[in-house]
Amino acid sequence: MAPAKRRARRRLAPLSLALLALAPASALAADFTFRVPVTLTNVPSVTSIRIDCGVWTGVASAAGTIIGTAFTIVPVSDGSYSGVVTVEVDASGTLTADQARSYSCWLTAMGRSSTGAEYGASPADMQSVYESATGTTLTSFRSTVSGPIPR
Amino acid sequence: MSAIKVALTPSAVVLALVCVGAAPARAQNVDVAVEMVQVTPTAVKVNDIVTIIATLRRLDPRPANTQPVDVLVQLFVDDATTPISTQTVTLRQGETVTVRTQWKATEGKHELRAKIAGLSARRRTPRDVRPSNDEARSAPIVVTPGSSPSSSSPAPSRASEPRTITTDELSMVGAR
Repeated sequence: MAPAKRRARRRLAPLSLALLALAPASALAADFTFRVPVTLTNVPSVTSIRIDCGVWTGVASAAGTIIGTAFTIVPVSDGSYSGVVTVEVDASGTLTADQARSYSCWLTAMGRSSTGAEYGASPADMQSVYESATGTTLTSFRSTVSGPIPR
Repeated sequence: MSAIKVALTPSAVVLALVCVGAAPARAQNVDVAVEMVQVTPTAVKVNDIVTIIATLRRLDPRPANTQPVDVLVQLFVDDATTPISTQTVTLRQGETVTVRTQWKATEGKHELRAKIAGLSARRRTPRDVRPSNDEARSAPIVVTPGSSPSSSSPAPSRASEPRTITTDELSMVGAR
């Protein structure tokens, strides 16, 4: 083997080792992986949706102390979407995943109003924000799902 | 005696009922408290999206008040006077509700604040009997310069097996 090639290999060896060492860490699954089915129908102004999920220490939905939250943003086109959005949540801070008793996932819809302005409709004001931004009716929606953490 | 007879005529009874119906409704005593304001994540860099969750509870002094009350809640950063979110939630007696919003973090030490800005109800006007619990602040968070990865959760501190949870469906259906 030519000396130049050997030198290059020697230089690359530590880098390869470092990448190998990092690989298992990046492959670790999150404490909680939420698979959230989402269906959007006939909402042409919506350009993206954001699904947030959080886990709490309380048994009742979203009660107690937050253990962790995370979100995933998904683009939407042609006013419809149907799929399962994955949100990976890790325990952050001093609380551990073992202490989780309940979860909640919620939908925020982002889009452009009839005037071109951006809007964001979150669970608390989804209907009013959507309807005032678009001038159209939101026939039905479910913007929050909650439940106990399976033991 | 004739006076009693007049009072019991049908028209007088109708008049009396109308008068009762038109009487101004008594205010109901209501106590809605902002119990807690939580911010997550707590390790935040500039431009990170922070979730703010305020927990409200209705703690009325008497168990007879069953009328739901609409609560106007505002969320602020520090002592700003312009809210980052204004929402209305409905609370029955003894109920707890959470109000959430997101905020793009700016550098520095911040406290997020939730405040009850008003109460209303359909029939009896609610009277807030304890304004002292109408506001609460989060623990301070320090937003440092730099940028974080796209997810809002920091590195895992795992103490149990990872779990996968399939939830019920979220949906939006617009009118045709």
